[in-house]
Amino acid sequence: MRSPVAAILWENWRLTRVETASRLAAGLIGGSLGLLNGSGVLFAVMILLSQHGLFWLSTAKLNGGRFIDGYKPGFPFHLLYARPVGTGVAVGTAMAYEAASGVVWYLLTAATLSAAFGQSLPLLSIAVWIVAVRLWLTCVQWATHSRVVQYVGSGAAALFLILLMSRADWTVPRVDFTPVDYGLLAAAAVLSVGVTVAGVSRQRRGDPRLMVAHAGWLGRLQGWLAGLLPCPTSSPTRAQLWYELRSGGVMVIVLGAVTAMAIPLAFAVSGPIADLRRLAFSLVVMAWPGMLIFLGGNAFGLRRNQGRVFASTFDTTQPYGTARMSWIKVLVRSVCLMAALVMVFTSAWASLPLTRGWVTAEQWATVTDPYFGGPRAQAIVEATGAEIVVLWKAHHALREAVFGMAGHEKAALVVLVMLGVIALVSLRAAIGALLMRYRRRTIGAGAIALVGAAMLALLSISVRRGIGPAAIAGAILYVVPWIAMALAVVGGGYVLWAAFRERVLTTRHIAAVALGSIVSGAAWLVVLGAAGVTLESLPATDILRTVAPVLLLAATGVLTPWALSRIRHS
Amino acid sequence: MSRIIVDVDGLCRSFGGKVALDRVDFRATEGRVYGLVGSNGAGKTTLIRHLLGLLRAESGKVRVFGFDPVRDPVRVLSRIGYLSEDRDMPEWMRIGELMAYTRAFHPGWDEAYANELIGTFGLDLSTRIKELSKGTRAQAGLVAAVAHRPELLILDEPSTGLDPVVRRDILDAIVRAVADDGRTVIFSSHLLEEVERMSDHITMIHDGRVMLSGEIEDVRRHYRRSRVRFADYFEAPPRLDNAFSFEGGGRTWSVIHGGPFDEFRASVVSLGGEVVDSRDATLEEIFLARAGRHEPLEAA
Amino acid sequence: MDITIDLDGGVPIYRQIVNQIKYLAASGLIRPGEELPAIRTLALQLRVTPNTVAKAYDELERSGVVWKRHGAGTYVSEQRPLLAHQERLRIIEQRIDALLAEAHQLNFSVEDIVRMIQKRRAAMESAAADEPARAAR
Repeated sequence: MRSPVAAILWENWRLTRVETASRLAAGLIGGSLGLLNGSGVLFAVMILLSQHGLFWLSTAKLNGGRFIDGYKPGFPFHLLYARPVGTGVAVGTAMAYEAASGVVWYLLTAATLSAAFGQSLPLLSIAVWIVAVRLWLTCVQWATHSRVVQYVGSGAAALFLILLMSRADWTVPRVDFTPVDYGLLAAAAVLSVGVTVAGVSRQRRGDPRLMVAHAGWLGRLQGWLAGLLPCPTSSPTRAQLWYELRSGGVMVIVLGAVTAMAIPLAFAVSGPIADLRRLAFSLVVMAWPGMLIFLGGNAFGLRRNQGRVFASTFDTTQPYGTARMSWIKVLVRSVCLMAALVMVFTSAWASLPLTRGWVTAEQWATVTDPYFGGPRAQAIVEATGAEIVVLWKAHHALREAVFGMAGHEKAALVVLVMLGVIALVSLRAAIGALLMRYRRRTIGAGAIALVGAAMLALLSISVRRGIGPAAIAGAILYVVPWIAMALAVVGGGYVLWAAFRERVLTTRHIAAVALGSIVSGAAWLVVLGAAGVTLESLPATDILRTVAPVLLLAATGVLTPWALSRIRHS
Repeated sequence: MSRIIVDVDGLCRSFGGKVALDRVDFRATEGRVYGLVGSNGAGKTTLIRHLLGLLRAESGKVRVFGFDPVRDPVRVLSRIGYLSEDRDMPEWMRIGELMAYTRAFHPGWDEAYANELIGTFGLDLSTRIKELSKGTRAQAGLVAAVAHRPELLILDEPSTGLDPVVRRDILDAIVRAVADDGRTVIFSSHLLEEVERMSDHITMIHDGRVMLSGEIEDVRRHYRRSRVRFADYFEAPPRLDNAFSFEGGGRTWSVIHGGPFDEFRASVVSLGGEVVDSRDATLEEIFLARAGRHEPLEAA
Repeated sequence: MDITIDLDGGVPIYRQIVNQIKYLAASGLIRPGEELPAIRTLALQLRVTPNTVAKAYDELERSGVVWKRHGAGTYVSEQRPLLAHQERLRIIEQRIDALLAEAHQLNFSVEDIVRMIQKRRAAMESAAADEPARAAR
């Protein structure tokens, strides 16, 4: 290491190596899928941006995970404070790496895709945009210890997205920023760096205002709230439920509530201004995947520190059964996540009438007509933008589909959605655990699965387009799902046997999982029936594919305790 | 015949090709204090983690209260009080919540004892764990570990990095656990003086192997520090039976040695020297002699 | 009770406790019938494992220096301790060996040592004679 700058860059590289590879791979595959779909430039760029620009930040990993995974705000390279390197140099170098790496990933992927598909993708403007966004998000996370700033600031990064969406012309894939826009982006970038340097200087000096935590009103509020929900001492299960709620569940619900409250606000104030309308629209559209992505991971509570992932000794030495602990962690997180999603959905549904201010009276009569479409819709899109049309069309479609259902069908749908959330949360928790314990093997398996899925997707698209040897491609596409299912059954069987042998799962546990699977199977069939699909109408091969989701739940029910036992007993 | 609380037999464990524990034997009977010493990274914490079921044995057997901690984690952990080396506790919890949470898992929780300790240590139940100093963290962790009167108390480096006041608290807790309740204590420490005072039995681990294991007095009696004087001048340490380390030079040497004293004296005399004086070696001297860095000597 | 533990001297801890309590009893600093501290208390005070204190108390009981009331404390014996002759001999011999080794190191002859023993004894006796006079003041 010849200089502090080189050392800092090297450290950043080491911490984000694997992530770089995964993002490049995912970006290439996602972008390919988007472009293959004809007018998929928007899709491709969005995928690229989500990989490189906006969501998963490597700084989040440096800081110990995402929001509720023990996310420690502040400058992650605090070990540099005792070294003879200036704050400006340290912060500047790290931020430069963040900005540059984002740009490099995007440019590499976009250039590759452009060459492969002969489609041009916007380069320079997006590169500038990525620099500004990443510097902004880095600033928001590093400059201060305050979580309020981080949540709000990260949310405010959506403004960057609005700017992008409103300046993009996807018919001819270009993004034209005006000189004012470039000025704003540059200002945001410079401001971010300046504020971060100032903030980190304060942290380095050990500013007394930073040292006394929770002395302010927020701390007292949290204290009062915590007092409302004391830890039950009557039974270990209740105590563990309390623990899961306090260590993450409540935060999920609060974030859901905050988003739910922001939605009607956004709808109400955004009347005449196009950009604000887009902001409100993106809030509604992105809240769901955002919550599923940010709030549904790491239910096991694995911690990260300086690049190392570890399970908390405190958690793993409580005298509580592994299977029950894994299910409690997953269920509490899933229920809280479901509650957040319900709050956001209800809020969005109820706030739709607030979009009255977005359109004229005549246009209002149009959108509120359940059967509107065609030239009337087109006229509104040209006048005020597509947001309100999309929202109301979705509203009408949902109303017709869901509210037309019988009571028991609606119940089955709810059950199914809940089970889907549970499956998602438990899969992510299990994968996180396996990634920690068997890092290389899991990454290898994940890479193989990713490449395999990509090739399958490409094959299916080529079959649909009529490119290449249709017969062979068709045969492969037919056989692979069966092979995958066989592998899943064998793998699941192994896990089940191993868990049973190690007494992680007892017969009672397995009975509970079987019961859950039967319930989910019944709900799935009811919902299928409501959609007009019955078992008799399907050919034999498709029956298996329809039942597969049920097997998924059974698999996650068994995989989750086994994965936790792997990290509890290394 | 006292109950055997911990029975470790031929335990082997490695991490990524590097051997962490090599055929380790360890037995603990009821009502006694067991000290574990060893250099950093020698394997003390690894052994302790096996007792808690956090690690699986690659070969060999680990039994606590007669159960395998990996197969029966609940039965074993419910009777153990554990203070980890890094005092790992959820940062967001307050001390009062930590007590309530721990209490829910251990029906044997003694509220009076907990309150007494909290009062003695002066802990404020409403402070968060992330705001605590190192010493206070250790105190909070200690209360949570001992207040439910566990049959086995496992303390991993309880005194390391703590001021003498908190160290005293830790030692008091150990004494009370053993004297009042006849419980068993296993603790690891770098502070050899403390281990010497507080242990009934000592196990020294070096490079994953058990270097010595026995009652404290037997160990101390076995090893002696003798001053020897030779007629001749020696450049390098002379070859003496059962000698582990040498200090000094030329004619006068100070030797740490084991085995029967007569054998040692005979070998001194055979080289033309005499034993000037001799006493039991301190634990620190034994440790440095057996685990310290020095030129390889004749196998002892 | 004024007991100190020395880890460097080469004497086992329980033996140090035994010796010091014997000395306290023999010199009258603790009286017959007086209760010794509970095992736990003494262990806390000396910061040693209670099993060591228990062992010391057992040995003291065996040699008659103290007696244990069933489950209710340990008391100094009324009679003078009946240490076996062998045992008393061994204790003194140990002290003499150490003294001789030390003297040899420091270049004193045996005659010097004997002379010094008598001199020190005289000094101790005259100090003891002054004790009641000082206490009275």
